[in-house]
Amino acid sequence: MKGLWMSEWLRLWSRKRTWGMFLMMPVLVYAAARYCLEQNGALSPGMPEYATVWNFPVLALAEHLMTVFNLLVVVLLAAAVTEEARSGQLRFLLLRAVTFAELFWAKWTVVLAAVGVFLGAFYLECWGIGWWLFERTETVGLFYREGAFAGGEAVRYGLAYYGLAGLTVVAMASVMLLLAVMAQTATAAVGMGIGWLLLSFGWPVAARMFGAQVQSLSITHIQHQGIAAMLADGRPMMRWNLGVMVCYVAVCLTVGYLWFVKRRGLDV
Amino acid sequence: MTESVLEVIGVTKKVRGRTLVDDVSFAVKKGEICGFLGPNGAGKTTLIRLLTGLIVPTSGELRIAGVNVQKERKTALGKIGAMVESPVFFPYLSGRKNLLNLARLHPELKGKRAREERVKDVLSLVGLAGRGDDKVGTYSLGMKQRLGIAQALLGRPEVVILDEPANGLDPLGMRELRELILSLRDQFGLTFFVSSHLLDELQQICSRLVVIREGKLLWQGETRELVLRAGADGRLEDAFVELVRG
Amino acid sequence: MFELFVSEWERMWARKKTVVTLVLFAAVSVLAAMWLSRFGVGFVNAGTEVRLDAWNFPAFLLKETSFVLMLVAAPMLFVDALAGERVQGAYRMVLLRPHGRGALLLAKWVALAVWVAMLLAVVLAVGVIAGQTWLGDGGALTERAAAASAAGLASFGDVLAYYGVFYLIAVAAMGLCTLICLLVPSTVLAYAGLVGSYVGMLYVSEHLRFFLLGGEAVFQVLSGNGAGVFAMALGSVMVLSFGASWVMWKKRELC
Repeated sequence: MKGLWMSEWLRLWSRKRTWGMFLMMPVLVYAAARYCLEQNGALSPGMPEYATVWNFPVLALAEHLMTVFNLLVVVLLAAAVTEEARSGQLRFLLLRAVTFAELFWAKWTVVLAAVGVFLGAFYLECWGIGWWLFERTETVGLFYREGAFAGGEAVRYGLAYYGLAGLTVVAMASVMLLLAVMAQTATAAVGMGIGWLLLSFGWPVAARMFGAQVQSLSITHIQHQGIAAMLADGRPMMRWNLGVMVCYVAVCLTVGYLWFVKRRGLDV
Repeated sequence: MTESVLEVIGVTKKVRGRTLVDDVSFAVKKGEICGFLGPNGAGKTTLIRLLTGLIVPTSGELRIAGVNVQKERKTALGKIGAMVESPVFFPYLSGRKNLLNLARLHPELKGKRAREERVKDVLSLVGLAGRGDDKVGTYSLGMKQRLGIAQALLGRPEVVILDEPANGLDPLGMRELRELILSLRDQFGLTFFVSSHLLDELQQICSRLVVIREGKLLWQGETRELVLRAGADGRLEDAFVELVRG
Repeated sequence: MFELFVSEWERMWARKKTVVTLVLFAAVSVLAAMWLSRFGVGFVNAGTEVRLDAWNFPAFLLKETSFVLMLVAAPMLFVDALAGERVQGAYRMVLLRPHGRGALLLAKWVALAVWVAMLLAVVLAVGVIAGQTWLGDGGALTERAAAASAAGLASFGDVLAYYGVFYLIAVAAMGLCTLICLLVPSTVLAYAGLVGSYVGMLYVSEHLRFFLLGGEAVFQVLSGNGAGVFAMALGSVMVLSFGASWVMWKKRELC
């Protein structure tokens, strides 16, 4: 299992596309920083949206780039699961006494680990670029929290935010994994993934009248508003949102696993 | 003297500084079955892709029935039927529907009836008449290979180029393939250019052989000349190995 | 040429995905129509809203479904036809036939352009029927006039113009997709590249937002704001992407 995992991991990173996407990250962070600088002109210091060194990592992720991670998951899974299975590349692996179950878990954990690396690198890049471009203010405001906070507190908040953001990506990835397993072709996997994202964006608007809990059935809604709400004073949405994510992961992984194993690795 | 219907004249193909085919020249005469040999990576498929206009040479000229493949690609392709690498069909369409779709691309097959007739003919030529309406996804490797030959015959070509047609065939399938090629040559005067690893097969049907190694022409001539090199009871395989090892 | 087109068209429909996509897209259009008609108000842009009625409904319905069209229903088939067949190797069988490469590409473009037209026709049909069934003929004349000036929709002809301009955007996306499919070696990357370039253009210039926010951009064009700049931007993307793809398609090793 360890050997299989390493071989999947190394294969992922032997691809130009993985490195291409990895090297795109600082460019995106820089673009987000320019955007935040522009926005700062219209905001007063102390507001949660006002970007400083301390809260830029959170703002960069929350404002735009959560979607980038969702798309990253779509691409990585469509390539690692659908494309390989349909082009018969899995056959070579299966000749080496690897079971479908092992292969399934290896692929899943490798993609998660890669996303973890991307997210970690993104966080550090935000600090690097933020340190260069933003003010180091004494205090900073935080979403849905009363008062002003010192830099250290903001950093702790940021880490918690990234942790929860990571969890939302895991939930999103489990849906994408299911879609990738079900799709007949790699383009269908990407199309279904993007379709799911659009549905997730549309859901909170359509379900507005039913309140925050129903809206939070959409993972992208949790990403855009739910994480801040989970970290707000009193942690009002923490349990519900975590529950939603756990349900996604449990259902999608179970169905995806059974599908993959029953269909013998997608009929290789 | 019989005319040459397939001519390769001083052809070189370089890709990113690597020379895949290096100044190769040879010719195949009308009605001949010419075998094309070489170890793996010798440049066989590259040369076949050049002959079928899928890629263009860095220098040199390729002619089919006197027509330059680069300058008059369309006319040249009208004279070729080819199977390059393993044939890929739509698995959820029947063999017949796959062929009907490709038949549309032959201008000389005008009208639905003409196409259906032709598809019926080529299916029965390759012995798939009874399975034509089954989905290609249900075909064995050998049947797909035969369907690949059938699509090559759609446009009534003068020259048929086959890249590893015996891949995946069982002994019976290989024998049928051999008989098919011989009968097409005898019935319609077709010229064949066939690459293969299966030397015994080539020995049985090819009157001529072209051998390349590392992109360069190593040998060309009549099959029995090469076989004789290996001694009186020689097999082509022995002669080939000896030749390639130098 | 006609046979080339039919062959391409047949191969497109030979993929199960095409039928499934069309059915799902129609379902999405109906759902969006139900939701939109219940809401009763359409957004020309974030700040301007217009009361919906039977005659302007199809335009607003297209705006709502435009994301699914531009991000899923159209590109999935674009990528399959322009890259999928080649990556898979099936297209080799076509390249071996006696036709010029330009003609083969033209056949693909025509088939895909017809596909996009079909998608738009589905939305238009759903929009007209839903509008007639669920919405009235509009309110007071003053309200209609306000809608006309905000959205540039004064008559059904304007609604058709809305569809026409949107169609041009989708065709430009096809050109862009052709180019990307020739530049990257995998269908997943080509698809992601197309979506990425929609988003990237948003950052490059405000005038290139029409790929992602087409519904809004067309309203702006029809109400007479910046139609010239729009035409220039769209025209440049089309000329560059179709031109470069044409040259590359004829020269490059395709399969």
